[in-house]
Amino acid sequence: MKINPNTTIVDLSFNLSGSLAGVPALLSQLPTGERLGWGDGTRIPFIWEDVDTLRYGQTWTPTLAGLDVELSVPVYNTEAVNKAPYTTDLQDVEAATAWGNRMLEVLGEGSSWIPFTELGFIPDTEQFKGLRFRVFAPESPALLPDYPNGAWMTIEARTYDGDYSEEGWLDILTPAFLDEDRFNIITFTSIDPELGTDGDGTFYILDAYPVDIVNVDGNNCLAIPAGKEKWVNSEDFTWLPLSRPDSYLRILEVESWEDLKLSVSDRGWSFEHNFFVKLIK
Amino acid sequence: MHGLKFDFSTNDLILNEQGSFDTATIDNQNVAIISISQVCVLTKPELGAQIGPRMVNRPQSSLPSILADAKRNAESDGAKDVTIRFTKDKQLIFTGTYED
Repeated sequence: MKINPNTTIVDLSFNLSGSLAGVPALLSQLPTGERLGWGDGTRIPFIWEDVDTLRYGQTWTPTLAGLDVELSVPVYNTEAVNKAPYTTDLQDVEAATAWGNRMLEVLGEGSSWIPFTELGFIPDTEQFKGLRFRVFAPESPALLPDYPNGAWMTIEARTYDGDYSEEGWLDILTPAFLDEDRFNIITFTSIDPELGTDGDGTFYILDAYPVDIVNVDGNNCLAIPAGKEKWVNSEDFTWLPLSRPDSYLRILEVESWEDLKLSVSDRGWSFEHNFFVKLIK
Repeated sequence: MHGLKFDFSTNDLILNEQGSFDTATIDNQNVAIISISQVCVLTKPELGAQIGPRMVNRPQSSLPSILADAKRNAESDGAKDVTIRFTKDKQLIFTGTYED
């Protein structure tokens, strides 16, 4: 069998025999070190070395990780063997590696990741008609395995009534599925448990809808369909629908490629987030 | 069941003022240790659900089955009326009863 990394002799014994009683049998079968000395003339001893002791005292211990070794150990506890694999810390990173591998798949598609501004999102919307994008937010809990078709954006939004006298918090995890000149937004929300009363603070799907990129008064905007945008009244944290027939998330100027700002026109919302964009068509 | 008290914040037993190990009713503690450990007792390696690493970066839909496995582990150890649940502030609560 192949000895995996992060596996101790205790784990190996549990995996093969289901008991620590298998340790002596394993130790007797693992490769042992070889004695080394300097007597073959390949190395000159140091001034302080004891030549006689050095000749018979050195050993080289083989690296066991990845080694394929024939091991035969009696099974002492079948139930424990069935629970294998036992590992030291490998299981801790298993979920993270799954996440990382999924992230690599998405990152590997399409062109190289380019800063948002280089696509020319500001000010002309015509040039990205027919193009498909994938948006990647590096600091968000993005690219979850449950949502393989897009990248996620974490948007932190504050509401205010025009003079910043009220504030509420809304955490939105939004995967952006971009198709041609439209954003398809699926919105999950949870209200900060310190402020909100949505029950247990779990995420739930609010809605899924496409959003067009339009030009409004010379500004590039994401056109949110009427009634699709929801916000929280910061006094009693109830969900209130928009009364306006149309709402727009205005794409503001990007101060740096790390900072894309969106705001609802005259609504007072601001979204700040780091965007990377990749052409996939 | 009465036994040695374990401090999960320091991952160690607790010493009382007299210098000996602190004791308490440990029914709920047993359920917790069985749930979070890979191997609770060296002579019974099959006991231990290790729910922590199994819950990292998993969808919420997979959590009930992981907690159910932990509950089965505790019941196989002799615990009765085992419950493992999340509180509103996302803390895990472990309860169970052992016969004396």
